[in-house]
Order: sequence, then C-alpha cells, then structure tokens
Amino acid sequence: MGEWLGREYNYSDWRPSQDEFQLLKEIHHAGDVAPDFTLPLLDGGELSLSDLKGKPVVIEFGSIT
Amino acid sequence: MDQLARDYADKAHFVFIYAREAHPDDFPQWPEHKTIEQKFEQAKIMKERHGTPRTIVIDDLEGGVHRQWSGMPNMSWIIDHTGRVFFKAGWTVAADLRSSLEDFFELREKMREGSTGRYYKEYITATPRMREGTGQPQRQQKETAGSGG
Repeated sequence: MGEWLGREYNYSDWRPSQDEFQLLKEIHHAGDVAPDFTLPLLDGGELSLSDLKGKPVVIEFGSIT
Repeated sequence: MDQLARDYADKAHFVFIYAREAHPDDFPQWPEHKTIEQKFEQAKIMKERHGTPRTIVIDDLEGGVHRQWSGMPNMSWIIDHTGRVFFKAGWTVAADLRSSLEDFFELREKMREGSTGRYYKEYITATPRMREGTGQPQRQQKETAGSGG
C-alpha cells in the first residue's frame, strides 16, 4: 500500500494533520482549469469531469466515516 | 448536501467521490480499504443506507484523484461550466456551497449582460471545525456520507 504525506493513504488509525489542508491552499486556484478525471461510477460505467461541461459541477469528497 | 442537489438538479451536476474511510478506528465496521472490491462494497452500503440523488464515483484504491485534489477528507469544490475552479473548501458546508452557487449564477448572468467585472471570486478556504483549544480538527461524531448536512 502506498504512502501519502508520510503515512499510509488507507490508514487504520486517524490522527490530525494540517498537511492536506496546506496542500489544498496551494493547488487549483479559482480560475484555474480543474484537473480532469475519469472514475468508475458506483452503478457501472465511467464518468469524466470533462463530460459535464455546460453546467457547474459540485464535487464532494468523502466516505462513510 | 442532498437537499442542495435536489434544489439545483436542473442547473448543476452533483458528484460524490468516495475516497478513503476517514475514521476506521472509530467505526471498525467500516475498516480501511484493502482491495478495490471492498471499496466498492462499502460505497454500495453507504448509498443504500443514506441514499443520495448525487452521482457517486469511486476513486482508485490509492486515492489517485483524491490526492491530486489535496486529500482533504471531506472537501468540496465547484467547477464552473467551462471546467475552471470557481470555489474550493477544505470542509463541506452545505450553506457555503449554496451561497457560492447563487453567486456563480448571479455572476454568470452579469457576464451575459456585458459586465466586465471579475468573474472568479476568491475561493473560500473553510477549515475543519477545530477542537476548542487544541488547534486540531474535530473528529466526526457520527457516520454520514460526507458531513455537509
């Protein structure tokens, strides 16, 4: 499994970190072209961000916990 | 967030990117992902339990997209109709997103009317709610698909 900012990406024990928030502040500023992605849909098929041009896209990253 | 998605269903796309489990130690029934199949299974359960009108996509096991967008556990973004960043927040707050969507449509209308004003406003860097006196992010108190309400 790969590391991310000094720890396992899929960690088993949460601990606070400001590294990700610092990175968020440094990347993809307002007005920048957002990096495209293509990901599998939960219900089958794929979705690319670039497919959604024409309307704004509200993206939330998250999980169950 | 789901109510926001319903309210703007005709005007915007809403995408939920299932990333890593943020607090597997607090919820052993939702452990960290070890295979992509497990990740899909947990995402399916999330959808069945919470329901959502939003489109759910699954990041790869190592969070390739999540990391490219900083890796914050419950961040949110608005990408405009041309594919540019309009808003980003380190923590999802539905009211902030609603307000920013309203700003987006207002600014877009002004542009159509010939306004030469600034189109992209400065982004909002909402921080995780901090534990009082510690300067550390507050742990989520309950299971939820995201935490934006």
